[in-house]
Amino acid sequence: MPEILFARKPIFPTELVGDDPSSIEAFLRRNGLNENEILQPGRAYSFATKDTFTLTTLRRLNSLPVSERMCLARSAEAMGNEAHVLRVFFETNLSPENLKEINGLVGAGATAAFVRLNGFQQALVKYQEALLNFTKVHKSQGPGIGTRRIQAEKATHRAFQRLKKAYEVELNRISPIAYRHKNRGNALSNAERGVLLASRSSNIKPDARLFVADAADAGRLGAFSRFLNNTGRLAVVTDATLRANKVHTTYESGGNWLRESSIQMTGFGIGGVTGGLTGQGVVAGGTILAAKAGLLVAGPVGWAVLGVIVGAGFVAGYKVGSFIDNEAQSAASRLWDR
Amino acid sequence: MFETAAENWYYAIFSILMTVTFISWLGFARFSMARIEREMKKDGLLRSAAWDGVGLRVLWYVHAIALPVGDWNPANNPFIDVPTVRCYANRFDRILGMILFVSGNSWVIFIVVFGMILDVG
Repeated sequence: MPEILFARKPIFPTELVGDDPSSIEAFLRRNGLNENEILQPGRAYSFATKDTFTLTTLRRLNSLPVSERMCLARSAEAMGNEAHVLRVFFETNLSPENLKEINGLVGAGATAAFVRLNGFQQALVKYQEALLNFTKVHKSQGPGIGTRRIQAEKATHRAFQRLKKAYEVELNRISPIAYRHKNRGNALSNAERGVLLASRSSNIKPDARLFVADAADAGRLGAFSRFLNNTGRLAVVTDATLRANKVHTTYESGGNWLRESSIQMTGFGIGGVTGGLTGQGVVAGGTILAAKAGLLVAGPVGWAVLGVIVGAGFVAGYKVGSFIDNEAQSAASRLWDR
Repeated sequence: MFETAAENWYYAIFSILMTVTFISWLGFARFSMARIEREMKKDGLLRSAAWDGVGLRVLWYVHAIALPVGDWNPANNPFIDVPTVRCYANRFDRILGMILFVSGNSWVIFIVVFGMILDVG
């Protein structure tokens, strides 16, 4: 995933890409800069080369008012290494209105997908452990080794079956279905392939293809689950920053910033709490209904049902949270002005 | 203070429910949930509701602890390990959880229903 960065001080493109004329030209072109133009503070830029999605996002970000862009830059800073999450998050929730109101629903937001992917990662780790254990047993000697080898092989098959049965969709995403009955690919292709690779592998330096839990794609799925979790944090950080920015703008323009800050804080707290309560209520209710209808099963159907429930919680939390946020802001302003 | 007597009543009830919800929320998060998670960690168990990023899992803990296990609080809830969390809960947690559950939900229902009827905001 290409990263989007924000300039924090005026930067010359040469400071970023060096003196090579062709790289400078490519950098200027993809970031929509003119020759000799300097990156102004708060301007979004990227080193991505061909990703058109990134370029569209850059254009959208750079067309925002400077104050909002600086806000996002500060949020990105607060998020540290997770700054790239900002791109996806901002792409889906581009309107600052949405950002302002989103903190009410983050409780339901992470939920099912994280639980699910967490389970998938655990199943991968268990399969990997079974494979490595088989390698160890296969190379060792001693009394009863025959039985231990059979047991280790059975454990490997069981671990793979669990992976295949409960997480078929995720498994197919990181290992081609065509390999399921072939002696090709890594240990994720099928259990026989795994056992074969494990029996050939050296005990001291095991075959890299046995480390299924560390596979690059699985790592990406892990990053996805972290993204879901961080979306919540990022939403809160961004919401708080945008509100702080509103107070700052009021202060700069000579308005009553104390009044504005009390209004914003009331909306933030009350909107967030009530949105969370609503989201939880809807998710809990949906889970009960799905369990009654026998829909909470392992596999893609159960996954889809949980997705729908969480989605409903998300929407309900958002609607109620934003309604109450606005109401609380209005009540706070009237109390202040009385 | 506000325009009509109905609005005055509305904000009075709103404030009472909000205060009870906020205090019980804070109390439950600090005294019940934090203690349960600490004890679970000491026993080598993973934190329940690991998906939570911002602390709203407190609502799932309340649901799991305050309500009896049954149709409304299924033991196999995919979002939190209900039986394990309940093992660590005591009478104080259940009472505080019930106060938060009742006040929080009444507050939201009250605002949505009466807020729309009175068209405040």
